[in-house]
Amino acid sequence: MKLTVPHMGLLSNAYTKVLREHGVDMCPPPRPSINTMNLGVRYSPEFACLPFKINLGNMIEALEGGVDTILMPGGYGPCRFGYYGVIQEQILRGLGYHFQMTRTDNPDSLGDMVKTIRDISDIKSKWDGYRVFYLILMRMAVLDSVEAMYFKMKPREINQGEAERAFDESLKIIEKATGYMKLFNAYNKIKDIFRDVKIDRTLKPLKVGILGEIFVVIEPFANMDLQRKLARMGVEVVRGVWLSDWLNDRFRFKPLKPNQNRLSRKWASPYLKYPSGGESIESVGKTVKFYKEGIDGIIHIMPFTCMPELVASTILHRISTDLNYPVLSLTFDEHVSEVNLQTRLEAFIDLLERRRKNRLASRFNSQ
Amino acid sequence: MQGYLGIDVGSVTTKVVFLSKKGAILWSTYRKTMGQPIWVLQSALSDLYHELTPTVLGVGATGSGRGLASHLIGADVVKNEITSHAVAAIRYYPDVQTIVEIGGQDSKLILIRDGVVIDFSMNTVCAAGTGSFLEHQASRLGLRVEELGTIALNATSPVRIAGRCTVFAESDMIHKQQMGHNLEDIVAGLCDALVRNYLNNLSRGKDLREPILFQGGVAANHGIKTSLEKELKKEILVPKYFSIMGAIGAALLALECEVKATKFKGFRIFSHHLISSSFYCDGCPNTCGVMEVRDGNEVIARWGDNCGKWSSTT
Repeated sequence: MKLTVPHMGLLSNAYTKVLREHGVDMCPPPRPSINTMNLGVRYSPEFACLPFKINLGNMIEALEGGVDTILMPGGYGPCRFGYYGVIQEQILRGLGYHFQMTRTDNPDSLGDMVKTIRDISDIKSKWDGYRVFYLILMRMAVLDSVEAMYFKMKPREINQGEAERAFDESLKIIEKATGYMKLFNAYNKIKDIFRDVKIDRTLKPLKVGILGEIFVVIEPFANMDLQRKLARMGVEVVRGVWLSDWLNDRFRFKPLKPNQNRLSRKWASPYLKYPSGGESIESVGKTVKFYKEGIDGIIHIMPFTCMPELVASTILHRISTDLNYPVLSLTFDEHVSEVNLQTRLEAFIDLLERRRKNRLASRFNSQ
Repeated sequence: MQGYLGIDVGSVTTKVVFLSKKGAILWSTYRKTMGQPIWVLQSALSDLYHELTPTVLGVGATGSGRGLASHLIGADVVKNEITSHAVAAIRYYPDVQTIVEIGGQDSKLILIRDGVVIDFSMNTVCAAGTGSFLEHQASRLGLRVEELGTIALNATSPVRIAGRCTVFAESDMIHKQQMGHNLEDIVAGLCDALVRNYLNNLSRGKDLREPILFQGGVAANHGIKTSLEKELKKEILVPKYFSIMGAIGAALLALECEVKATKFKGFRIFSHHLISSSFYCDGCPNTCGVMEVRDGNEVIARWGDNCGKWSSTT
């Protein structure tokens, strides 16, 4: 058996390493690229969203590379995504591929997740299943923390490219770490690496909150590397959606991190009382939260035809008017032009900069 | 003569202005890009040089071809069109609250409060509300695009044309023609459709307060202006330099940032034989599209790669 997990940000990295340690022949698909997109678009229904297309393209690439089993996390999922595993399987069979597809039926159920892992690996005892699953979760958390540190350091770095190097080096260190203890040590080492990045402490970069549909937020290929683009423009990216937070809401492996979904409901309550699928409640709630925290503006991103986030984006418009808070909504699909995106980002950053300058000036004048 | 150069390389037209140190317009040009931005830029600069022989203190570049322009001639400020248009508008109308900008390929709506841009939107998927569409329809009706405005003003009862999509608008127009509506009413209907499309796509419940400025090449069309006024029930102002506002804004931004030593490469660039080309890098799965400009055999600029593998080699 050769198993693959399609890419979604760094998720595949977490699965691949841990399962490989437990005797599964892992074969990660190539990073999503233009090729992935072309394959996905060719064989997907036109109105399926971008995550579906990238996913499908990535699976085809993996199958071409000799994989015979696909693990599709997601289960019934938070939106249409729940049916994607089933539809993708049918499309792939229609294309003549022979393979096994393993889906986690209920992503909220720990038992289900552990069962899936025991099914595909040689892990016998239930206890070992839990241990391995939590190791995957911890790995995900460490991988996320690397990205968070990068976003913090990049706009402040003195020597160009140092933050990128720290990022790449950190991924290599995590790749080498096996088991809980070594992962913990790796985490400490990564913190040291980022501490060594020379930064300008006097700098107060603009802060932009990134919210929206989880796949598009965490998969750089799906958002045209939006967050790194911003970081290179000297903006501190404050991401409101993390895969490890999403998992933590379900499996409680980060004891100090409160349940983000529940908190978001509280923050969102003046505008949206019930979750309307996807990450809509997080998008609304965290916009309110980021406003209170003094984040300069929000970029809200979603795939084209994404229903839950469309609901959120309508509400965000209202919040933006109510609080006089800049919100830029961007939709992504295979037709988005990079030039257009760049213009919007630059204009938005200009807007935030001028706002901040004016605010400072008015504060100065009133004293 | 000293001053600042503003360049706006748009999809359809290229605008170049030369401002004095105080920001007065000394020279300007507005010409069709015709898909050859490099050549048009060279000829514009050549004309400027032969007419004024100016000393350039700073250069600002904007428009969709701003990257290309800045690499070719060396720009001190490279800004997006939204900021440039706003800066120029605020210069001439300090109390402006709304800018409607319709260019060749894109349309924008910019909201300004207290001299600061607070919100903007830009057309995403559809070019129905833009100059290219008008130009195309004008030529189909056997008219020049400049004539559309005056013809539209003579309409007695504008026909209703579906303006959601360029293709539908066109077939609907043909249909109306075959039904026997006269030319004036159809052209006026076209203007109405374009305005409806613009407002549906961009304004989406935004608060458009007066004074409202109408900028960009399409502002030359009085028919559109009248339709906008009719639809919004507000007065629309068309600035004197509506078509070159982006370039003015870019030059003002260069002026504003007090350039010490300009990156301007000098006027000799217009006599060189410049060729641009592109290729996809196959170094990693990103497959960045890399742009390259060559002066004869020598590569003078490369850009577009994420990692700097190509852009750092020149």
